[in-house]
Amino acid sequence: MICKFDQNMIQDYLDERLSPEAKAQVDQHLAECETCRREWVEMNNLKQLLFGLPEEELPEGFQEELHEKLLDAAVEKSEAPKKRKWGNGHFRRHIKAYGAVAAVVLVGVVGFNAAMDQLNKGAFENVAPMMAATAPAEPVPSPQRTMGTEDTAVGMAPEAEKKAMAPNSADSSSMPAYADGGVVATAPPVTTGAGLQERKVIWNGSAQLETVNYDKTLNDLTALAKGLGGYVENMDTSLIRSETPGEKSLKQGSITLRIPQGKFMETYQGLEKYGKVTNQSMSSEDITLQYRDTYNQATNLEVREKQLRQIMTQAKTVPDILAVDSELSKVRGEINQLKGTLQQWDQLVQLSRITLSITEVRSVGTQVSGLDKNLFTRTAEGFIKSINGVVALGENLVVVMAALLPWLAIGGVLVWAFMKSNRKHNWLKRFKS
Amino acid sequence: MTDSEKLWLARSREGDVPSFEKLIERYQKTAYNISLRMMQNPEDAKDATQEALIKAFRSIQGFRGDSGFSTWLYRIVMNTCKDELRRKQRTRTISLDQGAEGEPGYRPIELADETLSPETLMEQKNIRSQIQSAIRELPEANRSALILRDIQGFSYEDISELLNCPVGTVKSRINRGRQIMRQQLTGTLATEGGRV
Repeated sequence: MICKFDQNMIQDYLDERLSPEAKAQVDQHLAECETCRREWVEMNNLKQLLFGLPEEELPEGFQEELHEKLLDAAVEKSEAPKKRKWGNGHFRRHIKAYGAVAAVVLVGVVGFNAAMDQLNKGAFENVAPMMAATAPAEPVPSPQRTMGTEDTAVGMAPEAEKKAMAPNSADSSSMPAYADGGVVATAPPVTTGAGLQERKVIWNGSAQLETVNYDKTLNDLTALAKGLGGYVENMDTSLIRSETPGEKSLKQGSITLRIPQGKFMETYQGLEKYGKVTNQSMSSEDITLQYRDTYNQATNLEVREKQLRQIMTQAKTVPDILAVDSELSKVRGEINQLKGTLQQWDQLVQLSRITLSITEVRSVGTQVSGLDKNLFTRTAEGFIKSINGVVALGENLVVVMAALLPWLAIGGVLVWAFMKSNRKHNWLKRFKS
Repeated sequence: MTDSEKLWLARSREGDVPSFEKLIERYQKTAYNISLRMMQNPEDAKDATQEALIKAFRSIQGFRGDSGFSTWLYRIVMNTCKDELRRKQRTRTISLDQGAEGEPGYRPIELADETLSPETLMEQKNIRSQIQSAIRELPEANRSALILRDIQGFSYEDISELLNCPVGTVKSRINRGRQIMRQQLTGTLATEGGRV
């Protein structure tokens, strides 16, 4: 006869894990139920028996054997290649040595940096301008042009080109990820209108310029953009306060130009006219596929819209009309969204972006535009610069020494006082062997 | 952990054997007994215990000090016994599989005759060997749980940590183990109890 009483509870009762109330419950049941009581008795006896099993002693020779084996293991441990170099013993023992080495390295690095700063401070060095990615490029295969340039129903006029100069217009579209690095194409394909036939490529360029006349450079660039049919997207300028009093503060800043795609290349390569180019790079992103997809999507939706309008004329009942209407507005909304994206892309494609950061300098060596200097001139400049650097370093050392003088004085006084007292009391006795 | 234990622990990590031996001194008897119940014979138990202790020595860096040292040590002992049992299982040719009641192969172990004192010792020994056999027949999971609970007296929580499974699982393993043993020893248990 199997009892329906919770066996788990009986087990817990056996293990004395029950609350007093639960315990009382089980007590009562056991008093009543023969089957469970018998089972409980046996279980309890089993428990007692098990618990009563004597604890055996370790066999003879156990500890000696173990000792031998442990010694073997210890030897293995020390011989094994130390994977973790910073195990407690090693690191702790040599911590002083490591610390000293680290300190010396640190001081060396800081000192070296300081020295370098001094050398560089005088004049701007004639670092050969890094013309990245201006190697003559392979010509890009000419874009496939299909018949004509039909303005399709998508109907986006290239408004961007007609835009007047719009300073400080914050463009919300972020810089697109750069697709390929090195290959530079020749003149990017001309886009006519908003058709699908050409490749859609977004061009971006950036450069760093140095100039002796910041304002002039800025104006020149602005005029350039305007003249080519583009505009200035944004610009900002700030002053670097000069350290020597009486000297004019230098300006530095950046300017972002939007140049029509067709003129991008010539502008990019002609930046030297506006300042000394110390750094230059460009990249392109081909969004033809995405553009095409979106375009097709929009077209399909427009077809759908047409169909819906057809259905609308046939709709008789009010619920039908309402249903079609809601569908229509949904479709129209999607179309507008897609068109908006296409428009944005068109803007980015048609007007390439060139970002320039301009720094005003006092003098740019002997020539502003010359890129080739003969060896002698460069040597002379380098030599003069180093002399300036040494002089500057010397000046700084003098300053530092002067600054430390008060501390040295105090230190000296303390040492003198200590020596005097030592003569009297002989503290240093124990160091004299 | 006491301060001296912490010291021994630190030295053991550096590979000092005597410190390790001091550290495990109070646990090794229990470790041996656990192995004994698991492995069922003194030879295997000795091997398993030593093996486990050496493993503990080798991996003492891995002891993080969050669980108790004994728990960590016994866990290694348990795992070593489990591995050893599995190894032996593969080489065992005859399986004395004695199932629970109702299953094929079930042979209830007969109760020895109840006699008076002179034979009591013999009887006790007999009962003990019966229990040993019964334990041997338990599946490994139930055996380990039962040994730890009813023979060694660990709490459910300790066992859960040791065997690395939830308390509920521990409980059911113990219960099942007790059930199996009860069925095997049913005659003996009905009358013997607390007289071992």
